[in-house]
Amino acid sequence: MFLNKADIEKLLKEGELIIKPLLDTSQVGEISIDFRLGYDFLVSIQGREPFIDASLNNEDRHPISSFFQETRRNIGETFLLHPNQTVLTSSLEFIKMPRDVFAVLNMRSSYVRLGITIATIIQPGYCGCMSLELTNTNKNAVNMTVGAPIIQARLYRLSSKSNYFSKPRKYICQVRPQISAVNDDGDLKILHRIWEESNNKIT
Amino acid sequence: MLHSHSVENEKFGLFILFLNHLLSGEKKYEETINNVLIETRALVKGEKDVYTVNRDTFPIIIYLSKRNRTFFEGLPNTKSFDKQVYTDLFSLLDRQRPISII
Amino acid sequence: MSPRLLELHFSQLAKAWNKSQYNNYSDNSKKLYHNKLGDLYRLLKTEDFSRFSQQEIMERYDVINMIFKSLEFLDSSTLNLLPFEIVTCLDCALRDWLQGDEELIIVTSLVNDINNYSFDESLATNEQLFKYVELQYGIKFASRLIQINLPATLSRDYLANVVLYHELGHFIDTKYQISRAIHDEILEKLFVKRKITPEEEKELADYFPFLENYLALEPYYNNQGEIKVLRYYLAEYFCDLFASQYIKTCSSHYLQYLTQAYASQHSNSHPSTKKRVELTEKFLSGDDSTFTLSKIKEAVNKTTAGKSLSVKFEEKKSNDFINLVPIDIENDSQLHYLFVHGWDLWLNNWHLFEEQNEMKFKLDREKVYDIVNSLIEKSIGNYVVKTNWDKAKANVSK
Repeated sequence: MFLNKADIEKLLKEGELIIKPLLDTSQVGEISIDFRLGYDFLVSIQGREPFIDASLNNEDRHPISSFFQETRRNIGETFLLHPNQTVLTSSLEFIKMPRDVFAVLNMRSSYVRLGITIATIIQPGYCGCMSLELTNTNKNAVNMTVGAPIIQARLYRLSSKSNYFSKPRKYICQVRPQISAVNDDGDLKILHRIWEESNNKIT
Repeated sequence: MLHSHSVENEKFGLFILFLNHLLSGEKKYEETINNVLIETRALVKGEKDVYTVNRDTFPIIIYLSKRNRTFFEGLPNTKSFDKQVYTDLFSLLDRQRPISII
Repeated sequence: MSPRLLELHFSQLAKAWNKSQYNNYSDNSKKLYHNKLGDLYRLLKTEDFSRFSQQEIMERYDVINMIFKSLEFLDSSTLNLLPFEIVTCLDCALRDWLQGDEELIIVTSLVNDINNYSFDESLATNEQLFKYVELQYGIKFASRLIQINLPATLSRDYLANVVLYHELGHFIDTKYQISRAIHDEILEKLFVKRKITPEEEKELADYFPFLENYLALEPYYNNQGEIKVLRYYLAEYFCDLFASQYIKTCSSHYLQYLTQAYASQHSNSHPSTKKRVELTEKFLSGDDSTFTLSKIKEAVNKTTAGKSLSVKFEEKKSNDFINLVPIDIENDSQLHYLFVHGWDLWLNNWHLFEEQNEMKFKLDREKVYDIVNSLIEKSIGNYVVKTNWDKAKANVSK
């Protein structure tokens, strides 16, 4: 079930949905909530390695963190997103989702028209700032203001409650963008073993 | 602690440099020197105490008050002083200060 | 010093200035300070050092050092990794202790040394240097710089960063010469006026064990005019009390962690952790019966022209952290109390995270550490954002 303004406001009032800070109640629209650009960024940089290795097959691989540089801005300052650049950032707002509601995030249309894209979902029960992977598909750099409402979230209700903490979570109360933890993926360990066996790398 | 001791040495050094300027006739350094003289006089006469004298020049004031109490007790109750006072002040400062070992 | 050595020193400065002269600062106060440095540098550049007397050479040496130091401070602050959350908290505390229209700019330096928590106040506590620059060159600096050093790896560790409140205490102590003044009074009481009651004597020996047989120290006092270790101890006690005004017993927690093996040992620079914690607890409980504590409080009041050592935090009870959300802070006093919340959770209540949030797994310590620090960070960040937003919104509406 898709939530409208009245539904969202009810969730906020009852403390089921928590948004901190909610700087302006007008962020709650008729069918969505606007969220703002946060002040922490992980910028992809070109290092000495030719590629980011999302597998486990190369023992000498560089950590993924070496391909990103941390930077911060104050609210009101700007951040320049270069053409074809992907930046990890997070929402200004810290949210806690109700256990039976998830959110689909898209850029607000003003920013879509500038070529900035994102598509992600926020799970029921999630708590933290929302992780945003912004990509600039424009041929020009775009200068964005920290604190500007750039994201639109549409909320959907599930038929039953779920427990976000039914299994261990990598990200709890995340307040800054986090480097991808893809190399910690359990499946990769199995696949790596298969590769080792088929290439006679097990002694 | 290291920082505060380095800054203290610098204060003494600068104060002596200021005094030299004044003794050479540069009046613009007079106010800084006079302020220390007045504060030290107030301290030895009991008009001020270790808590109420100027904080920035505190180490200099304390040192001078112990160096020659009589000199400061005898300072005239004015806001300006003649050259001999500055010369005498210089002789109080222009020597090795005690080094604390504990 | 030969003029050639001064030329060398200035050449080094020229290199440093070339690198820094186009620095950009979003903070206008830093920009103005930087501009003044530029004015000073350009005036120095026009001077002919070969014609200088020894005195003039020494003066220029001090001025060049001042520019170097200022650039060092400002350069480290242009990096876009400013831990503004902890700076905000310290800035709030600092403002309680400034006079009139004093302006102090806090800059931060993230260092490699994991034990390096300190304030470098050398530029902010030497007014004579700024006076000299004003008199000699006609350049007046409106503000002063103070640098906080903290370990890069711990810049987001708000549990450990509580020690910076203690370090801020050292800056305040140096600024107002508090421990120095108490030191002078105590020694005068012991060796000049010889007016000390048996109770005061007993207590002094308790908090300053080296004063147990103080008469043996009289020759040192007569010769040097000071007993350094007394100054150090007074400074440490003051800084503990200063910190506890804002963060209750939090800095004691970290202190006990750092000195666990040596809790009842005093050294030649620090009192024992045991006595430090004891004095802090007396202050927080309002127990003014201790001579040492009442002397420190009295000294603070007199040296600062009326400011006082008093509890400055506001307790804000909240279950928000347990519910995995930041706390809404309403004022500066509540801000400091965030660290108390954090430490309370860390020391006593890990299990509440799991219970309150129906976690089907055990939270490991690294996770709890991340959660506590993230929630403190976001609570501070939200307060800053909201305050700035409300203020700007009100101005825009006018």
